[in-house]
Amino acid sequence: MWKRIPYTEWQTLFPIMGFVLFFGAFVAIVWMAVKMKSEDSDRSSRMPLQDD
Amino acid sequence: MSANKRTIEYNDQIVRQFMLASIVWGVVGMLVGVLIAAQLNYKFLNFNTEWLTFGRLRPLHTNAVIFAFVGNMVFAGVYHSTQRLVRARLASDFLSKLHFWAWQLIIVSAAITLPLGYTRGKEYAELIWPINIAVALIWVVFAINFFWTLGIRREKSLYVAVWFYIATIITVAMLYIVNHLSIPTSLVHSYPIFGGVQDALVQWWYGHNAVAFFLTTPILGIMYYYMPKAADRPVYSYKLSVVHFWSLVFIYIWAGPHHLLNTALPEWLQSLGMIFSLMLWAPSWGGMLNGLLTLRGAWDKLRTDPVLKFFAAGITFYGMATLEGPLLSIKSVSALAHYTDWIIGHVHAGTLGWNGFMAAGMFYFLAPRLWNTKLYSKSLANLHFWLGLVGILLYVASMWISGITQGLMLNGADAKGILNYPNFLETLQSIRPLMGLRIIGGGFYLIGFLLMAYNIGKTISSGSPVNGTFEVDEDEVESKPMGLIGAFCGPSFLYAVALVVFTCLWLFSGGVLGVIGMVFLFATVLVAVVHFKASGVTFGNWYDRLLQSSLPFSIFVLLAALVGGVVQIVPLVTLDRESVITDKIQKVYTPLELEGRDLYVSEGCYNCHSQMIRPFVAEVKRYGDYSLLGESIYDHPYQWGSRRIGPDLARVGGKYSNAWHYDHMLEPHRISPHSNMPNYPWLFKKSTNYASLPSKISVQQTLGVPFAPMSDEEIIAGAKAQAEAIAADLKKEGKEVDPDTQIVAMIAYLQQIGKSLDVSDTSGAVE
Repeated sequence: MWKRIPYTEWQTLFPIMGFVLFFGAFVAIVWMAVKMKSEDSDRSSRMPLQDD
Repeated sequence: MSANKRTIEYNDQIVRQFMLASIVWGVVGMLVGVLIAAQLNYKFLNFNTEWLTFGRLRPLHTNAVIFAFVGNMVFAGVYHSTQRLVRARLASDFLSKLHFWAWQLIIVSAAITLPLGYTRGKEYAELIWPINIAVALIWVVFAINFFWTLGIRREKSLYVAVWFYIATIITVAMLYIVNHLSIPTSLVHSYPIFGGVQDALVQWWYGHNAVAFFLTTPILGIMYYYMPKAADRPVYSYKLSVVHFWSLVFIYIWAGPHHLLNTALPEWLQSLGMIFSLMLWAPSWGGMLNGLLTLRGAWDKLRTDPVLKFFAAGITFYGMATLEGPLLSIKSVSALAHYTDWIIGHVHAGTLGWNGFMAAGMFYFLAPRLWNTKLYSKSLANLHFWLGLVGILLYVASMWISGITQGLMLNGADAKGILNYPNFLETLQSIRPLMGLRIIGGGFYLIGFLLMAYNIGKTISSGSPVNGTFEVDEDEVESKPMGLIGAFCGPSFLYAVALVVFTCLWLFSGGVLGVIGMVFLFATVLVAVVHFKASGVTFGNWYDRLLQSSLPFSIFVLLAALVGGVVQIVPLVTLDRESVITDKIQKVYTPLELEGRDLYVSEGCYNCHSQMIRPFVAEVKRYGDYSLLGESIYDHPYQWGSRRIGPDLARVGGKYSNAWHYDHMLEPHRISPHSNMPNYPWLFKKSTNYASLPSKISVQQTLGVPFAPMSDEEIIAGAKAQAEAIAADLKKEGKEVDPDTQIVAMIAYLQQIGKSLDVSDTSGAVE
């Protein structure tokens, strides 16, 4: 009856590796954001106000 | 001014030009929007005129508001804020002017070609191939001007708004080029290189991310710059903006398949699209909260400052639209909402609320500053706000109710599978009052927008153009940027790559390799910790330096955005399409049917009719067997559609007689009382373009469609013979028709839709 596209084994790995990549990058970014020095964060957050 | 300082003037002339262009095109795009909304209730507004029909004007509306209104607004905001954030005048006045005038020329070209029926037949990607090339080239001009400006900047670090602009420029280029890959058959016609399910996937990878990277990320950049300016408060949380940016850039690109839920798209892609759409909730709301909380301590200004009023409401609509989007991406919710007005309501909450209100806020902020004067009337701005807000609410609420009503009626069936509302037109009749309410809501919004145009016009006339300036310290010493080697060979990046590689090895390899991966993973963590502790280097140091180097930063953005597209598209497009079809396979069109299909695309029939029956009882009962993957495999472009203003046509072939189609195309309401389909009288007068068929079939063959080998004469003779046979059949029914008129080709195509063969009978695929 009705079958969808079969895909071979190497293709099944793509989404999983994508997830791993995402979570790896996400953890690194969150870690970096959490560890960012307050003075750096404060300075950056004021950047739009500096050109006045 | 001291001897070692000099004053530099920003190029604000280009900002003024883009801003005014945005307002003008905004009026045009919204006016066409109100007209096509009215056409759905009052079909006489199609005026029996081909270039004024809904199918041709709807792409004009979407392209005008996306690329002309929002596009020009984005360019104004990007150029204005970037110059100030990086403390540099735009790198090239010539490129700025070229960008502006060429973009307007592109818009005018689109405004002419779309009503004339020159289209690629893919939503938000309708423009014909010469205009596609122009868009790509001008986008490159924009990119060069932008990155060149970053290259000469005096501010070392790149602010979060600039990150969003970088993501926009890079990702839109990638999406636009891939989805517009086509082979021309003439100056005004081409076939996309992808077909069927592949085309559907690529289209919605582009279509969804056009929303993400053209209508969202640049506006977020604008939010991160103008909201603090207007509120006179720093951004609520810079740390949150870092997480917001990278999560959004990475996740957004995966979510495209949620536009194809419950269709013949492979299940794993549907699941990926749904899951990543749900994940989008977090970064979207992170951004919304960051924007709104920037107002902390300044909420009282909302009462008096129209700029903040528009920004606060715009960001709130962003939050609501990004709450609703993931909700609609759940398969069971999509089963109800897809193909209905609910989606139209969702889209307009985003475009009218988020894009439109952010644009208005920015314009009210910029006009007095760019013309060195005061806003002409705050009262008019406030009236604009309330008219716009009421307009959006009327629009969105009516479309929600309409969508849910029509979804429930179309899906309604009893336990035996008998449809509750077997006549499609019954469902259309039930939502007519709501469609009427939509016209009123859209009208309110348009009136508000016109008030803004008047208000800004009066503001401009009371002032004179002025360019911002800033002082530069000539002795300022620039720090050395990180460069590509520093970015990609630094310990932080190398450790991160090693972690991903060893994690994959551990998780996805068996036996010894898996053990090696695990051991090396832990060893890498240990070495990294010891190294960072001993050297005092941190991941944050690396990232801070990355923000000082626009090229490596841009490459990381590209990589983040690429992953989702590669994961979804590469596996699907690399498969040999015929070899994996195991059920039904599409019959190759005859030359006349192909010409009829091109007319179907040209008339924009896909704007109202889908060709994808989902595997639901009610749909199968209403339209016929659900659509299979192989049944549209040779369709360049695919025509699955996204809205059912009229019924699905996937199985219309052979359902009615040729004479029925003849009458229906001439005057649909005579055959189907209360139908809102326009009449197509010109199809009965205009001649079929037989001469174009050989080149069209040649391109189709190049794309892998297995047309039988035919000489040019055989192609034309075959088409004419089929046309004469259809004309003869019509004559038997009392319909005198010239076989060489377009209506005959259209009937040939309509009678072929849904005709397929068992895959085992591949010998019959080509006739």
